[in-house]
Amino acid sequence: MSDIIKVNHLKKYFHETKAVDDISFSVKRGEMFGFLGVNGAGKSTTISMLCTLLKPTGGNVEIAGFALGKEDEEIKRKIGVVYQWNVLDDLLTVKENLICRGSLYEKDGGKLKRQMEYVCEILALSDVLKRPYGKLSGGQKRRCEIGAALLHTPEILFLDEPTTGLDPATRKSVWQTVGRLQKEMKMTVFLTTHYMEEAAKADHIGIIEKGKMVQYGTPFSLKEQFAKDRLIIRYQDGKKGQIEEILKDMGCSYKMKNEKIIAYIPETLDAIPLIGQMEYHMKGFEVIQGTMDDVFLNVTGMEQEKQGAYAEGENV
Amino acid sequence: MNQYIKLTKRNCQIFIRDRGAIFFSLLSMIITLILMGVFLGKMNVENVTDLLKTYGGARDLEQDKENARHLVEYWTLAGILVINAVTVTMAVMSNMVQDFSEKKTGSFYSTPVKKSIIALSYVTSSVILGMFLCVVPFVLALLYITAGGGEPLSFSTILKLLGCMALNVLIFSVIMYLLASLVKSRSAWSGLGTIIGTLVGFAGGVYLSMNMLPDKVGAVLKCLPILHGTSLMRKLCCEDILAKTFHGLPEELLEGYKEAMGITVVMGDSAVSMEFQVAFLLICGMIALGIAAAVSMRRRAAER
Repeated sequence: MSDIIKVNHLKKYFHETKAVDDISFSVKRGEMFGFLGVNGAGKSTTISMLCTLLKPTGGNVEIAGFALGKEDEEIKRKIGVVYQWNVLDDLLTVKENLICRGSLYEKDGGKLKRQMEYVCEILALSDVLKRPYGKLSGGQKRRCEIGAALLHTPEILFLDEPTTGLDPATRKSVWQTVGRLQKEMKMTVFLTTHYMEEAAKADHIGIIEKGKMVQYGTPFSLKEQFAKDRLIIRYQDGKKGQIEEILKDMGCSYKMKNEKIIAYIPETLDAIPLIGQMEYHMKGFEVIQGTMDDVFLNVTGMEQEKQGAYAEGENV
Repeated sequence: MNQYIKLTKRNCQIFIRDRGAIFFSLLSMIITLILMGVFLGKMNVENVTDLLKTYGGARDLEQDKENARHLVEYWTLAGILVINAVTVTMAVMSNMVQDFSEKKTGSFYSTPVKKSIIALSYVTSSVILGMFLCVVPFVLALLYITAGGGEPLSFSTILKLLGCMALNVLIFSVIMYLLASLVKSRSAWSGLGTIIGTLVGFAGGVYLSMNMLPDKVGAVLKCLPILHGTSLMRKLCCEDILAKTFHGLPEELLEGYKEAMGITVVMGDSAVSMEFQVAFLLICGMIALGIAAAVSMRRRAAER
């Protein structure tokens, strides 16, 4: 698959602040790319630059074969953007909003109408078309926002935190919609999110930290690298020493927490021999798989405390 | 073109659907009407009849009163039309401030629409609605005045008035666009709206006639487009009724009254012509446009 977005040494400095500091990555056609980072890491600045809203300080970007900064007009026709905040007008009906937004791309009224019908069908908006946008629920509003970004059938859909502030059920439905769009319309989806379980569905993930791209990979490879599985052991009274002995023998790192021992294991299956040996020393156990949360926290170094404890455990 | 029409339509629709915004955009006019109805109108009529009594000798008092009343009605109408041209364009332009403060502007900039088209759509919607909310009160006022026995305006005067209305609305739309491009938040805009809504009646010499204002204040007002815009409208509105009311009286008396009421504006030694005033308004508009363009260019340069 070819690269639809190529970013090379992209930089954006605001006076002294290096909001985006020399990042390079590429996104393949038709894939879902998750762009992660803590608040203020430079995600939105990057998206703003890719959407032609901000001029980069340096570097070059190619989107759908067009050079950013030189062929912005063409790029704008290839992308659709869903913002963190809602941009449609409360006082207009959904239909009026969609027509207004769509006509910014499409001159032909008939074609626009057909596209609108298609988008409404995919996003299940037909029922709310005649209602004022301001009166809709949060989830309906988000679907309309996505609909407005899809009217010109863009090749790339940028989603900047599309599900922030939605309840879990609505989040799930918005998510399913995005997944369908990617598959049915063969659309490239570029998204940022704070929900790691959502990011895990992406084909590739880039993690940005203080303006720099610190990790890139598939969710699987990142999990393998940064999220170790954990075996949590509740030991029987006075058997703590024995358990520690066994863990040391097996070369396992571990730490103590609230009368429990947390051992780090490469894979969940590795827990079986350990449990076999410790069977008579413990009250119970739990095996926890590493999650995208762990990846994110480990990579962005926010849980330094945990890492500190982890290192300590290794020394024991 | 289609983009331009659709954006203009959107801006108009947003304003029209907001009943509160329409009401408040007309508030200065409503206040003026109330003031006139309660006491200013009576005072202005008495001023005229006193003036006529002093210089006119034996005249028909009832006829003078009647004429004076219609004169004041037309004079007030002229003032209202300019007040609306200012306050309505300002209210419509709040769309632009709102789009900016709610970060909607970026969502337009990421589409293939040119920024100039977006700017033009704000100004156009403000012109359309400003014009509409001037024409409607204008028609109602004409009906009211003629129903009360006033002389109707001639067709050519009405056409000229519509032209001047359009000029005023256009100039103030451009000025409001400039102000809106400098203001970042809605609260700042509504604060500005309060100030302008209050001052517009004074700046146009509507609440207080020009001779009641201190000379220095008068001198400042003569440099602003509002007074000249009002003066233009008053000349057209009051021309016939002035001739009727001051019939047979010395020219100086009429000229003195016109200056005192801000119907003519005296700069230097003589009253300025209507052509000068039209040119003055156009220049004000162009200056505002130039500054607005410079502001947006500087902003674009700063982005880099």
